[in-house]
Amino acid sequence: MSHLGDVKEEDIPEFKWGKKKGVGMMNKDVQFYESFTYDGVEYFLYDCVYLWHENESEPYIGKIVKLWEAPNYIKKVKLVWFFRPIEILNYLGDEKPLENEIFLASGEGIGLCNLNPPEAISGKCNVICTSKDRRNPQASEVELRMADFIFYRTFNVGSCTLFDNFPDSIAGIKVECFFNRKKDQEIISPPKVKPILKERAERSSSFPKLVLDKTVENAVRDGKSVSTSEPRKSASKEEEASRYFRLPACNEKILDAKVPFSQNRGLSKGVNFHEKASKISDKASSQLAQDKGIKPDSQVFEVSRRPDTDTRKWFRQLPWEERMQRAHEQGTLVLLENLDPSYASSEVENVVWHAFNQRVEVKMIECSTFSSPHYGKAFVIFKSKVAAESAISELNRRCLMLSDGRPLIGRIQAPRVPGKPTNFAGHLVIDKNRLQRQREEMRDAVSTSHCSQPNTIEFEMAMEWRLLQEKSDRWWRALHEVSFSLSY
Amino acid sequence: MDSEAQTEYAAFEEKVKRTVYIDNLSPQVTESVLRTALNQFGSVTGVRFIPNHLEPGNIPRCALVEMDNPKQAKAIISEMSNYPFMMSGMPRPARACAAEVEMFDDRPIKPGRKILCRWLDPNDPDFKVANKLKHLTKKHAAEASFMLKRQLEEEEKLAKQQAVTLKANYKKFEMIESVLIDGTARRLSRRYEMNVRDA
Repeated sequence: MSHLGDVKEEDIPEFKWGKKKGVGMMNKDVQFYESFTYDGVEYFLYDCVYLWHENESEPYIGKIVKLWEAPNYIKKVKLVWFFRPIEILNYLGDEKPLENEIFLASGEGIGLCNLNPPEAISGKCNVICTSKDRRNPQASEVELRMADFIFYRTFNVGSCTLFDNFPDSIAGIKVECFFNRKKDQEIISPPKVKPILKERAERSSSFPKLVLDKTVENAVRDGKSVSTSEPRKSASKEEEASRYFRLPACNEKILDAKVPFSQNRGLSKGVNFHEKASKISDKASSQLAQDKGIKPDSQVFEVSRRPDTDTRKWFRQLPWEERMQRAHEQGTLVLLENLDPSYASSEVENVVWHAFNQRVEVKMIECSTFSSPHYGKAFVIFKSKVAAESAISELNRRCLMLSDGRPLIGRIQAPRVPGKPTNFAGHLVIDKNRLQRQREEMRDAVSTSHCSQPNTIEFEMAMEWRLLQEKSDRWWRALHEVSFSLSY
Repeated sequence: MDSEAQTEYAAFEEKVKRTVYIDNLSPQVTESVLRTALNQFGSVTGVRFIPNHLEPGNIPRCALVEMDNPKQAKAIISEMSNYPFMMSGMPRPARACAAEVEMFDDRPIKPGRKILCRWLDPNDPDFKVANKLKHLTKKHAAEASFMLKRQLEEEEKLAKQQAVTLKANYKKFEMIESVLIDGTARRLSRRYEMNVRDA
């Protein structure tokens, strides 16, 4: 988290502190502030902001809770994080988050808040709290329609669970600061900020907001129905589609890159419009060439490193076995076959990235006694069921040829539920009463690993096993040899 | 970056050389059993059971055991192929062989490799061939699973047969023992005037 990418621009953007708030209790040299201006945008305490990680396709969302400058001119901003559903997918269980829902971090632990340089902030984000909490000033319908994200639940980073109610304070900040602003604080409320934002957006075309704001507003103005009773609970697919149509009109370049996105990723749940749009514009330039390669002109494309390798490292992950089981239950687990067995997991991740534009998690299945030395297999966890299914159908309809002339095969396969294997042929125990008589002795004999000595029954029998092992080895070798010569 | 990847891969290859692959393990073999067993040959630095996600549950387990140095790994392999080695039961011996790169799920990217991909459309001339290859892959997988089934059957058969032999042998020993204990042997020897030393 230390190297959050700052906004890339030709000239160094201007930074200016706003109103002073006070000095530090412990250290009088620390100056706290209420606001600052960066690159023409004024940020206030308790604003929600986007932070771009250099290699990340989805911006992080945080709430500014503290601003200060240390005597050595080091500027800091303390942020309490919001989580996107996709980031805590493994803890959601059966919860189906709303389309644009995010979760406020709470509790104690890693992932609650971070210190960052203010320059890491790349734009404002309009987040509305729809909690029915008494302390929360309810948002108007207009505000809800304008919101980029809504939240009404917290995610406790300590226990990794969701809560409907809000604690009295989060990261030492009164909870009132996390709710919507009271009406008399309207001076710094989102609608007023918008014009500044747009102005800025028009200046720097790299800013993803440009497309977003316009399309959203267009959609709203055109009278497309936005469900009003509940906070955008079900922005219908139609509406989404209408936005998509609008998108290309705004920016030609995006059109090109958008095609694979809307096909594969299009209506995937949990990924909302803003993410998509920002992703598109973010990747538009860098991925353009590759995207062309993916289009059905059967061009050869080289698999290079995916631009965004890792998500948040500091976030504790479940063990792979468990994640795999869950992914299977959610229908996002796919088994890829016919890979080169020597591929590393990350190489397969790159392949999937280039072929389907999906960020996935891959684990190559280890070769063992019974796996073929010619066919590599890997389990892939996609981000959504739709993405997984579309990848499989795409692999069935067309062929993805890898460099050594292997067509990739994808299918759904349930991983075996871990647990003790049921039986194991070949370990014999002598009769029970004998065991009782020499219990101690026998137990020791069984638990000690040893080489058996010649001229015993054990040795004779072991030799029979050896024979069988050798035989079966030959069967396998013969089978693999035959299959290898058939396939080439 | 490049040299970094290369050193990482070289370190990984060293690790592979230090590691022994052990299969034909009973499900009762735990990490500590493996450790104690192989500490007889050197010092074990790491144990990892290879999970079985795809095959049926009744296949024997296998594990990667990392030793202190390649020499120890070699010693284990030669020792275990010269003598049948029992772990948590008998008489089916465990088997050791050298580990291979593909057995590690966390293997790093082999430096200097380029992967090329290409989408083939149904109207592509190569599409038919590709589809055939797909079918072949599936066929081979089916063949392999059939083979696995047969092998398990064979093992089951051998185990049963051995159980019968063992029982017979055990019965024989028991008979001999009881004959000696209840004095029948002595009486018989007296009757046939043979000299039997006391058991």
